[in-house]
Amino acid sequence: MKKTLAIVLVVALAISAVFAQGAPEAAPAAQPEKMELVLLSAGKEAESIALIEAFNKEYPNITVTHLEKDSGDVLTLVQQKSSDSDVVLLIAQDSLEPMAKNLYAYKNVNDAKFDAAYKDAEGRWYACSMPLQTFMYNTDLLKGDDIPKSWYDLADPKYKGKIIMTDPSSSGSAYAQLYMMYKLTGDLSLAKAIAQNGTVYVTDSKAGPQAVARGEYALTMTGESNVSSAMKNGSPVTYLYPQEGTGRRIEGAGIIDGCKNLEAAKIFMDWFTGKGGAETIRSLGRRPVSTEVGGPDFLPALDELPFFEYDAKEAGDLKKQLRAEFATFL
Amino acid sequence: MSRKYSMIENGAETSKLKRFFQKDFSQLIIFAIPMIFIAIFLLYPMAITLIRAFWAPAEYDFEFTGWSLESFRTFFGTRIYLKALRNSIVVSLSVTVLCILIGVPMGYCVARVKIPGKKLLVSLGILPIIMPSFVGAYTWVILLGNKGIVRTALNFILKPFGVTLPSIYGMFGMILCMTLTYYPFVFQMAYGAFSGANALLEESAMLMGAGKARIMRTITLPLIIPSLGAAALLVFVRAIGNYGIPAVIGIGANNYVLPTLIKFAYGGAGDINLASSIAVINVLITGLVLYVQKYVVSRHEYETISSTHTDAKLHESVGARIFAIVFCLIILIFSLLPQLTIIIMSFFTRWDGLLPTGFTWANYGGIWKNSRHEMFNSFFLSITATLMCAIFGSVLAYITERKKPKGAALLDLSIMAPFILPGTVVSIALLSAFGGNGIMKLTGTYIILIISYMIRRTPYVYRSVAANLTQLNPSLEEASTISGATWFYTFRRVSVPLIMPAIISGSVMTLTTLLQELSTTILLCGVKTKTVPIQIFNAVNSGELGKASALSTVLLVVVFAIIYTMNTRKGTDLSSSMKM
Repeated sequence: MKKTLAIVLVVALAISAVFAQGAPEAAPAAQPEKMELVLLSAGKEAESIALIEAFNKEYPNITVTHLEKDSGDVLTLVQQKSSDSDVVLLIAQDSLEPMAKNLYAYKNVNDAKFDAAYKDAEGRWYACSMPLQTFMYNTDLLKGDDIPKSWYDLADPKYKGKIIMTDPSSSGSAYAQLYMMYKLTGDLSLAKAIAQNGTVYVTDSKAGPQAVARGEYALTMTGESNVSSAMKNGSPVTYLYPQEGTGRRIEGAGIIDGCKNLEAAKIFMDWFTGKGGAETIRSLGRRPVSTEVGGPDFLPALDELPFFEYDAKEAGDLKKQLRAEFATFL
Repeated sequence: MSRKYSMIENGAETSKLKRFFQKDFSQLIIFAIPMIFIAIFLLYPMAITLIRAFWAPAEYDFEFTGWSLESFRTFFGTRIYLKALRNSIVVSLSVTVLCILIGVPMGYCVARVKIPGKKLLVSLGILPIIMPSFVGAYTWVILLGNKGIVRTALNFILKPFGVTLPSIYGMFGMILCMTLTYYPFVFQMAYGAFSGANALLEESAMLMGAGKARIMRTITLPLIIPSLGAAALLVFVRAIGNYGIPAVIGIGANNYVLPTLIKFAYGGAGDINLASSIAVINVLITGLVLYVQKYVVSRHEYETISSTHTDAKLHESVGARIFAIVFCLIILIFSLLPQLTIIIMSFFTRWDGLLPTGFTWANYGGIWKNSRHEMFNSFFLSITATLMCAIFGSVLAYITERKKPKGAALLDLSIMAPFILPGTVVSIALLSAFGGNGIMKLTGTYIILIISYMIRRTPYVYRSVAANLTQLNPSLEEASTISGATWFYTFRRVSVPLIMPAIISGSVMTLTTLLQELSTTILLCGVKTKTVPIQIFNAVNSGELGKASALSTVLLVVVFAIIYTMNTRKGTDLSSSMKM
């Protein structure tokens, strides 16, 4: 009996020991200049590392750690107040807006430089870059006259079975493509014609660019940073902006409300929204919203690109309806 | 008078109290710990999921806005949802049937035909399951895609016969890839059952003049039906929950499956309540299959009572040996192609088109620098969770099997539920319960990951031990109790040593699958608790297949080392962790 009790106690102790491991760590050292910061990014791991390196050159006193998750997961964590991070970054506008109520309102030092469309009115988030959608095609498979020029070309029978796209129900950027087609024609007739042109729709948004780089399919539509990174990697692909233009979308960053390292987060936002941040964003193959720096390598400059109106609010309002209608074409 | 009366009453009270304290509560306490754990960390989050399924749609939000059947109406009123439901059932059933068709003969060949290198064959034969999701899907594209190296080669060979292989994108590809990934469950089970079955029955039948076909039909196959049922269920559950393969090669609405819809609901529309409803439907289907499986198996349950056990006679004819070797090698080579692909890929920068290009050591060079902490986390989390699963699973199995408490069936189902539920749904349920809005904040800690691993993987040890206990005669335990041992002493000194092989094989299954766990980790891990599969996933997302392959190769080598060591040790049998 005694032995039994002893064993039970040992088990209980072992369990509590495991629990103790996860307890919050002791308060940070008293030195004020040493700070910590945790980034939660929807971008790539290499991008976080590059940003931290650049940031630490100016602020070596701040130790930055990073975490990458899908933007849907970032949204869930922020909405559930379950994140252990301080700053969210590289999140598309359609996710930033619903989570804004759980972001901290901070007007950073660069606030005045931002156009009203590129920031939250209370400073809960600021745009950093544009996930512009472009055609990405395999240069071994499409040459000369075969290269598409217009959105409408995607419905051309000569591309039958050669196009791979992401399902708009599955990802934010694929929905943005659908909304752009809607803006272009006023309805989903073009989207329907493309769907019925033997176009292949996948759920994983990385599968399209991968398949085109491998030559599995000739053509896809994707964020331009995916094209520049594939080109940098040496894959036989290039971009082409449709002649009608592409929608001006934005992605950005903000401080999580109630985060642990608010002061460090403010310093980071001041840096990130300034020239240093924009320069790093550009070097990553993304397109900064800041006009102080140019466009990314391998991709044309912003003023060379045709644009058409992209109303993020309307896109959000129509999301459910357009997705449901599109689903009937598949 | 009144004084005397009260004295008597007091006396009665004292003896009652005394008896209360003299009673052996160790049993109750040992039972209570897992029960409390189940209530807090399993039933509570699961209840949240079930309740959410009946909440009004919530776009990008988690707050309650009212009760509604809207999610179910959306599901049953939308064509692509119903199609996905049908596809899921078709794919999972086809994969299950094909896995049986491949796995049973292969198990028979390895167990009953005299061929060399059996332990190696059995160890290699589990590796197809060991593959981080997504990496697996992409390797199948590299192998069998439109420009895939194996497809191109096969088409070249088949050209004179006028045959071309269909594209991997679609139903055919999904079923093929999943079959080649999941057949090891059936193979391992069948191997265990064929080599473990008492040959006495078959010999008796032969002596009585039964032909080979008749023995096979009336004795050998019926004897392995319970194991087969268990393996089939496992394949079904894994196939119906697989998201990676359909996400990459399941194209268009004709090929969407239930996990695709969960992704649409959660990732696309931010509607966690709709995702919960789909998960509930998923569980209902699997529950139905579980019920059918139990019904079929219960009609074919045999208990072999015999005082002697003889090993089965091996087929020694040259024809049988050649056939067995060729058959096993063909299946093994085909199913291990993805593993071979990632090993090759790990030395290159990219694999566009037929062959890989850009040889490099760099994919391995960065591991120590960038993944040291993640490696530690992966092993620390997996080993801790496995140990906890081993204790937890064996105690629970002991309770349900030996004590047969009321509601054992319900307990059984609750333990199985997180195994059936998609990882995303389990992790969202845990997040709702233990996030910033929940009863206690555990997010970002090691604990929440260990808990999620435990509730999702306990079924391996639980099933393994439960199956073992049913075959174990309780007379030894009774003898110990009669001799005056306490319940716990008996459990520790008699039961545990007897069920140790089952605990070990269940634990190995747990450890190897946890080392590559992604679907729950991805949402629950914090900045300090990142694991290797998270890095692999990030690398795949960044298009760095080489880096992802190098990390996967390291995991693969470690897992193979563990399994091979297991198989060369006597008495432990991986297959027993899959018995249902």
